[in-house]
Amino acid sequence: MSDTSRIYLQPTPIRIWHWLNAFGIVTLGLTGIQIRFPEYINLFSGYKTAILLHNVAGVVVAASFALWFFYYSFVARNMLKVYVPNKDEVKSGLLRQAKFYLLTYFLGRPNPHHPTPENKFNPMQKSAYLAIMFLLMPLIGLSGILLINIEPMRDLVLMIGGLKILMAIHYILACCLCAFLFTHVYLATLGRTAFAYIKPMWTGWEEEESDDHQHLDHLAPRPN
Amino acid sequence: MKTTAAGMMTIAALLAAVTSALAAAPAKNDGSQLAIYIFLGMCAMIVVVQLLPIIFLFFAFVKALIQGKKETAAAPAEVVIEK
Repeated sequence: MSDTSRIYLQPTPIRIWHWLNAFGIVTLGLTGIQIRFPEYINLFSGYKTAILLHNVAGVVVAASFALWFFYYSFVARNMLKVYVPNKDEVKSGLLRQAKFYLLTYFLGRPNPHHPTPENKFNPMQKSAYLAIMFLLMPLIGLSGILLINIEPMRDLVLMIGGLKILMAIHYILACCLCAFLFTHVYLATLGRTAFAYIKPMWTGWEEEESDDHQHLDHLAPRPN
Repeated sequence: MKTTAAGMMTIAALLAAVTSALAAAPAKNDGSQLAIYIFLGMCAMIVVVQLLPIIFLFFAFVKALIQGKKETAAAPAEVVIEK
């Protein structure tokens, strides 16, 4: 028998952070393309508009990053538990989850990870988000801040290797983030329905099938 | 604790540095202002829509509190003794 239960997975500050971040990063990506390739792309009314919007979106993303950091550090106090994979997750969890995404999902098997508020990410998500939130986002933010404050932070820019190096770093990091974004959106559609993982990020509540038969599905013989 | 302190320092540096960037940004009426307002408006909408359940809950709580007080004031206290 199938029985659905609801768990409150995403609290309000995290939902606000996530959607501000999503909207901000999409804006940063679109304006960034125009800033980088102005001769080919003209999505906004002008080059200056793209720069100004890029700067403002950068501030919004930095502010939402601060909200995320503040919430996990001082309110929830479980940042390391949520984002750092443990030994077992690194040893076997990563492989199990990769196998699900690459093979067993397409065979209709259930997701091996069942989220809880304390352990809401699967091992692959944990590893990816750890790199994104603790390495990529701070680095891209810092390089962006240096790029919009070249004059006052001249010494630091020169120490890094000059403006061209800094621009290249910012651009490569942005490409990495963009690659993650496409993967993130694709994997977010791999729930029971296409919106099963997206809806909780908007409402906070995730519906989970507490069907014991479903978890033992892989042991049952399957019709050919 | 050290990680938290370092993180807070990074965020403070990030937010402090962006203020001069805003001051240095071009502010002409070439449509850029409109784009900024639309962007900030969308951001505000995300925040407000996400806060709506909390706002509704707060008003429901206040309403229930006021109604409870009124009912207590209107109805005289009755003592029912069951035998």
